[in-house]
Amino acid sequence: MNQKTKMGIGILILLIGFGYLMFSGISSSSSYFLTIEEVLAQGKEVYGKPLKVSGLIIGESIDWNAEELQLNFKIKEKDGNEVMAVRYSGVRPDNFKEGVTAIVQGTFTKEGYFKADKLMLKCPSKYEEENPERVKEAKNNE
Amino acid sequence: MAEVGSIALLISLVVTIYSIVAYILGLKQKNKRLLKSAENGVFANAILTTVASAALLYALVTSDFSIKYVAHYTNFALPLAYKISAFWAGNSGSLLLWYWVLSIYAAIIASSKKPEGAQMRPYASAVLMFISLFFALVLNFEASPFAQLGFTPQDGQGLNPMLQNVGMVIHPVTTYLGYVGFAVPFAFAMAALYLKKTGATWIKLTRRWTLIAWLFLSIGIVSGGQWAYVELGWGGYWAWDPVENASLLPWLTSTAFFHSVMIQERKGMLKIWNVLLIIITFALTLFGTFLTRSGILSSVHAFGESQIGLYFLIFMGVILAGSLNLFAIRRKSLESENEFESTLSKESSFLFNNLLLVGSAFAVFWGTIYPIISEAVRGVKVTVGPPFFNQVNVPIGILLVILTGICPLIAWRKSSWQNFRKNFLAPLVLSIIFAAGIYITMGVNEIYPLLALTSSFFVFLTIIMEFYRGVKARMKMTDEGLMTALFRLVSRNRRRYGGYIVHLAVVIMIIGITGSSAYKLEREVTVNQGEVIHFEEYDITYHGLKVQKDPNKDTVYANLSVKKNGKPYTTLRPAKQYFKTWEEPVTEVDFKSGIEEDLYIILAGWSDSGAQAILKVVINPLVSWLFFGINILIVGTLIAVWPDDRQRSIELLKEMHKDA
Repeated sequence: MNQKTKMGIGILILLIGFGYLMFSGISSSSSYFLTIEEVLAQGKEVYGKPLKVSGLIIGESIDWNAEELQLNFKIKEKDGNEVMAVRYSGVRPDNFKEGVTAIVQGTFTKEGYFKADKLMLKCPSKYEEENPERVKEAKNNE
Repeated sequence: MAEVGSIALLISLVVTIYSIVAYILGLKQKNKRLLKSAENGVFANAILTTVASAALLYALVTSDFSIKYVAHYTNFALPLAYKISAFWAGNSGSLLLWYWVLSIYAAIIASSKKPEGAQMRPYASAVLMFISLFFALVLNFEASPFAQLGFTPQDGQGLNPMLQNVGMVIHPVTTYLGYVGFAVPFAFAMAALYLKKTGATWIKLTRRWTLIAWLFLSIGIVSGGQWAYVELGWGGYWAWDPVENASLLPWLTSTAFFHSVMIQERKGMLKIWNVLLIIITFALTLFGTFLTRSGILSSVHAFGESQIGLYFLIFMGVILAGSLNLFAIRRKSLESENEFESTLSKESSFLFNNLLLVGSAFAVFWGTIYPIISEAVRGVKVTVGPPFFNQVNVPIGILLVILTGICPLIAWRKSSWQNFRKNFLAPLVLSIIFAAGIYITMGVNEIYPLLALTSSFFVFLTIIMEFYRGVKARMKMTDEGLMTALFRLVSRNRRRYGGYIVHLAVVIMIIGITGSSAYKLEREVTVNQGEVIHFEEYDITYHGLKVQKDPNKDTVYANLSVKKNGKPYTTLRPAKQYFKTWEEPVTEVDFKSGIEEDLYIILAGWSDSGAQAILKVVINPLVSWLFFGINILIVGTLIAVWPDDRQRSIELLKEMHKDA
């Protein structure tokens, strides 16, 4: 076997391993961005799939248990009626109140609520004009 | 002051255009006087951008709130240091910083008197001025830092409290210095291509620029991580956020670049690869800015959406189109002078090192832009989580560490198995013993951490061996004492031993990353006043909340005393701060750093009476190694770039001879 073939084989092995890592990894670690309507409409098709959903927090639905660190609440579409219940085990972030946009990452369960592993808030601040995308990470569960 | 600044910027635009035109005409007509005049334009431009920057600094320090930028990012109460750092807190200021540094770099290049670079210098300067032109246009017509508000408010809006941190003073500047620095090797690569001088002259001329840019970028990345760690309060330092990735990409490709150029210097091989790498590296520095400013991906950095992102994308397109076109035309001049002789040689280990680094860069790039592609192609919005990046990069990282150990010890051209065994048997056996040791005594039983720590140990051994051999040989030959021999060994072979020290630093940082990512422990608890949290070897007592009032902010902190293994260890005060100028509270974590681990506590919230507090307690093993390692990396890189004129001129003369 000459040197070129040897090098070629080495490179090929690297590339195959690399390709495998790339393509097996990307599908298993991406979550789908869906709207509340899409989640509710698709129902059981999305059970257990990694999802990311955003919606406005409904103030009166907030149920915060500080002892258990359990935060339950509902979110709705900005201009829609569909409402989705969310359960999140973790700390209630600062500024968690009516009308703030919450982005939840997790799965939609058979029981009809969204089990969030991650909760982020988009803050409506007085600097909104400058910083519309200032997303504050409330919790990172990795 | 606003007028001085904006006029300086406007003249600078004119001068930049003049310089470019003068360079082009001067080179075409071989007109020395015109070239000299173009050069003077470069110097004038450096002075003008310095004036503009000084004007902005003056306005920031004196709180001239009639300027929009100053009113937006500072207020009277802001400490002086942060008034200065507000220079790069926003879009237009950071662009000015970039432009300023770029024009100073261009002036340094133009003023160089080195005969080796004489031929390439005007071409490289023209390229640098062309890059400057882009910034001059954006600063004059889209994002002027001197834009007026039209009225003078009573006070400014103040700097985002999260940016009021030492890390945020260092991180942006060093990152920009890194980004800008790669413009220089890029410009010389283009000059070399154009002139068909594709030997190693351009590489030798820009070696130090590349390494310094790389050093700044390394400091930028690590200080950004450190800032996230002490300021963002989620217990980590790296989240594979798009913008973090954007800074990592040119770091990976430039690391590949300055390894592979060594092959070109030694053997005249990999010329195509090197040119492509520097083009990609430079394009990626623009890509990073495009990502940060366009708001196309949501990220912690979000500068606010603006047209600037789009301009960077267009400019990146222009740079790529122009340089790849030149590359295609000059393709023939890039032929290799040698071929690979053996799989077991230094050359091939460099080649694999490059494939791994570029592979890693590609994976990070792919994961970062996958959401954009997915939305454009399939219409499905997705986000790619950290598991993807870890899954690909951890094995690549481990292979790279192993190569780091192997590469320095195998010979150029062809290494024999016998030689290989002689060099590696001892470190290999010791590493296996080390692996067994940490497996049994410390319970490191997962494959990746075990491999990462063992290969780091292996590299450590091979580096020690190299130093030992060198010192021993010197002592035998010259009768020097141990310290003298060590000092002279390093100072006479700066590139080599500086490089080893950088390797050592990287390994130390890898150990920190491994410990803190694989063995991080965290727990959220609600505690009553007087209650003790038992977490691993720590007993943490909560003594209640306190409020501290400052003119600038109110701070609410939890008073905690910590015992470690039953003995008093430290007191911690995690807090939330309510700034007068900022609506939302800012979480101020508190932590105690140690060699073994950091104890890191976040005050997440409290009950209305303050009797109960919600705490997040994190144990981050070995994380201080990561932040300590960067210091060694700085030392190593500085040794490697420290001027060694005698050596340099010999090498350059040789190279010119080859090129001529």
